[in-house]
Amino acid sequence: MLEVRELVKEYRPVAGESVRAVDEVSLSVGAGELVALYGPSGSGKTTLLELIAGVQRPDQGAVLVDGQEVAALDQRGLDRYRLFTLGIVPQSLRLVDGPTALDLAALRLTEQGLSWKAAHQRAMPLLERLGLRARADHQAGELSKGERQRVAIAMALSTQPRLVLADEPTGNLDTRRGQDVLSLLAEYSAEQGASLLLVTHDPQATHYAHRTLALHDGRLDASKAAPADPVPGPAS
Amino acid sequence: MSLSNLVFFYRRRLRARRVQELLALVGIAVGVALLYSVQVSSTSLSGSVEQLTQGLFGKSQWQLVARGPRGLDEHLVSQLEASRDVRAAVPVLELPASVNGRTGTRTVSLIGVDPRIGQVGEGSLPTGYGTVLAALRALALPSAVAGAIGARFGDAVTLDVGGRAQPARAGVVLSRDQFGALADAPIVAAPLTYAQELAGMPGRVSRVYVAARQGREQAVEALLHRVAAGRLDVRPVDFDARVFAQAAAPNDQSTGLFAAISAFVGFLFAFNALLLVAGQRRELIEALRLWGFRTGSIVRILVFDAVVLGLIASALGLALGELLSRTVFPPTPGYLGLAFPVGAGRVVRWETVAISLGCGVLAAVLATLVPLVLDISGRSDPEAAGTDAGSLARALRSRWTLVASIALLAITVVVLIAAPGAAVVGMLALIAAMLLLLPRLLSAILSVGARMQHRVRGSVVMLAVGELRAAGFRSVAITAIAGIALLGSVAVEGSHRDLLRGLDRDVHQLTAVTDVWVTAPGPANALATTPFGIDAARRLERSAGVAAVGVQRGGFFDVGDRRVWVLAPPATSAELVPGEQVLEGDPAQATTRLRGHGWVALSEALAHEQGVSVGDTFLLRAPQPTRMRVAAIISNLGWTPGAIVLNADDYARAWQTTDASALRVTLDPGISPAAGRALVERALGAGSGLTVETVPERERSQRQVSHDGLVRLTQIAVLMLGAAALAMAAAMGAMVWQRRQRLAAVKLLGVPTRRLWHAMLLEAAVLLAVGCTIGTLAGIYGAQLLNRTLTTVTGFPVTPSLPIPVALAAYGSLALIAFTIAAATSYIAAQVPTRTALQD
Repeated sequence: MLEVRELVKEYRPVAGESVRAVDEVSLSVGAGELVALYGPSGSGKTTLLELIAGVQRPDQGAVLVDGQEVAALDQRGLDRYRLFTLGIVPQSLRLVDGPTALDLAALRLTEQGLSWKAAHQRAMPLLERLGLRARADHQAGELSKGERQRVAIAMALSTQPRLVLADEPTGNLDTRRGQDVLSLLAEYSAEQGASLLLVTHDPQATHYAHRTLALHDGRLDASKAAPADPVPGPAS
Repeated sequence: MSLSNLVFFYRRRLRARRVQELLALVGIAVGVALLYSVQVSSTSLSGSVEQLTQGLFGKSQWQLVARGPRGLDEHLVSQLEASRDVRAAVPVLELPASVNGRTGTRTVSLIGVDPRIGQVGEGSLPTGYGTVLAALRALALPSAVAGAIGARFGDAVTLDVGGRAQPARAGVVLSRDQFGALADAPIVAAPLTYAQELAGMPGRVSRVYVAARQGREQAVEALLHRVAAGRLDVRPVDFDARVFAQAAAPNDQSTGLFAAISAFVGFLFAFNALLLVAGQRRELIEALRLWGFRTGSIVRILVFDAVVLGLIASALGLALGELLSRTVFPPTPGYLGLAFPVGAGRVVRWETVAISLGCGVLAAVLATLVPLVLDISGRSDPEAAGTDAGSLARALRSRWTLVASIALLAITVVVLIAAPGAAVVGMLALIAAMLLLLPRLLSAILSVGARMQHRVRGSVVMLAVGELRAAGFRSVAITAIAGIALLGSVAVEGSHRDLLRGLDRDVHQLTAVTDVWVTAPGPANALATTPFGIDAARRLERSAGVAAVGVQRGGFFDVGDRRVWVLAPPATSAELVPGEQVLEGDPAQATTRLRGHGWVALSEALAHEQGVSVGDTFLLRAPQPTRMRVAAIISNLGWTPGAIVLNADDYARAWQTTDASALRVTLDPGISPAAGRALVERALGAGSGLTVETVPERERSQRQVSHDGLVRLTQIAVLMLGAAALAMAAAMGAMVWQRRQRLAAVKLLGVPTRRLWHAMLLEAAVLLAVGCTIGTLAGIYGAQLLNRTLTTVTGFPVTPSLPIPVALAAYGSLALIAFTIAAATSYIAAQVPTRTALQD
């Protein structure tokens, strides 16, 4: 379970006034819950994800994942957190071009200690579910942007993380593929009991989310936050 | 497209790629520096000889030259002066000598001149001082010589000349301000009569420089031939420079070839650096096409970029080269100093600057355009735009490249077996074959790696193999740097060592024929070419402990454009020519014939030039022209212009002298060489001016000369490795640095920093192993190519071998240095902040 308490992150440029990218944000995402986070460009969504992923340290407040404060982790602890607890789907992930889609999907599993054979066996169903079976043996450099985005999702989910952070995961996908991906994420969250925070502009996402939050100028906008309409996704 | 538009485009793009352009700049600069400094080193030697002649006798047209060390009669000068066609006739005594001062010894030419030199010289010696110098019994020393021996005005010095040690004084120091290039010349000048007295040659001169009155040149030339009467030579005034060029050619050719290889390494460095921005340039080409630009305009934009880069890099390279030529590659006359007055001054010709600059700009243009050929021509794969794995990388793995590389290897075999003179072609073919094979080899190894990667747990192997496969052409370029550097370095140094071994063998065979040697002193007399009186031999024959004294004669002698070494051992020698040096003819029969009267052995190139073989007759144009028969064709005995061997008695008749150039002293049984040397020194007496050496001592002094002259090859080989190590490390570092965002992405997924570092180390190890291995193998083969060329074309006495120790040392040092630097840069790159992965 993810709990964010009064989180503050300020950027101090060399000249000019400092900017509060995240301003006293508190939220929580329960086990098996999918929360969609909306907000215009520059509202602080990505910074919030970076703070939760431990990529940046907050100026104030805390991020707790299963009760453990992320900012308190040392480098080794952060590596383990990202490898075993977290699954992150960035807006655009620059992948290594040489390995195959299947190898990339299995990469984190081998880092967890699995043999490549076992890792491939675990990763293949995910690729199938993402419509990449036929492309599994293709090098990443040969894949389209949309296919690479789906490989990134497979990489994030392959280790069955308890917390998933997804930043515009459907940004490079057509409507049908976008629905497939959102559906997969929702199913995953429900089946694995994982907390899933979804940063998106995609209106479809509300259909899959248990709750919707809005971020504006670094602050959560309570007036725009609402429980999602319980439409087709598993969240219903 | 206007110039202002080109400048506009250039400035906008430069902002985005300063680091990459800087790397390319360094690469080109390194290549230009090597090319420039080696050229300056070579031209300085030949320039020094030219400047000496030009400075002293530049206004004359001919020289009447004595054929032997005893010179010609000075009275011939008045015979020439009597002719109304002759404007000036200037007698000169020129002898090899050593001058010793407080802090050192310097090999020089003693030049005796009289005031008439002012009529033919340009720089001109201080003839006004002549009377004063003669009265003071003093010498004029160029500032370079004075500095080297620690002599100042008025200091006492000793001059070893003609086997006699003569006390003298430094009367005048010729400064650079007053006397220009003469200040660097390896000479000491003295008034003619004083020089004759020092040399013990009253009334004798070595040559007479002659200037004709305007329009009377032909008449003077005819007069000179009449006066020469077949016993003297009539030569153009620049003859020495021509003979020097012939003697220096093998050395110049080999260093030139090796410098070209070094420059190519620099070019690859630049090529690699420019590959880093090839992706951006591809995107630019795509964009320009979309905006409606034509191919011509696109090419102009790219060429403008390249020319600006090339000019700046070449200017930097020239400055660096200037520094190198002053510190690492100073002109080293080495063995050439034995027969020519070669100075240590630097001569920079405009051609040297132009060639270096031109090569730098050309390298920049090629390095910019070659990776983009397919893009410019509109035949590239649009999907590959912005990536490293361009169409060129795929093209290099095609079947045609395999066929081409096999054909190129076949050319090298033909050169090795049938056309050793085409060494440059052979080496270039070998380099090209290796470059064409590299992509295929690397691709094959990475395919094996891809199959192996699933047998190793964890992501290290997969990430390394994946990155290398994705890097495509850049991986090939990095391995190519290692390959070419090792090819060049192993071939150069391997061949160099074989050459030195060959020279050492020759030295040993020619030296280990007696117990103790007596010669005139000075490193310039390493080949025992300076004559001295025979009295010393008589004194030694009477000494206790001496079993026998053999008189060896010889010296340098001009045959055509060759200054050959004449070696005349005593007829009683066990072997007049070491058996291994006989190339045509029976060694035993050759010795038997040479012991008799009227036989010579000629070195191969000389015999070929004269059109004679074993048994033929050869006219030896000595002071007493003598018809001789060829007993054998031999090697050049380590003296590249060529050698003639005859017995000492025949030499005495032909050269009309009884002087010796060396004494071979055989000791009584039971006397050690060291004790023998002591007793010979005692017998000669103090102040004999002669040097007494045991065989090992003499071998050591001779080796020193040959090793000094060839040391530049080792310097080039080492510099090449150093440049390659830096180039590879920079290229690998840049490659790693450019993908920081991908590294951050992998970290974001939970792969620890150290794993990333290990993956990058594995990449570096693979690239180094592939490049170094193929380069080393090609280098070992290249050494055989060079050996064959040196043996058959230049006549160097090479002892061929497989240069395994050289190869291992070069491999190990390049791999270690490049890997260490790459490890450091990749460690830093692996520390990339994880948030970089989330930045656009």
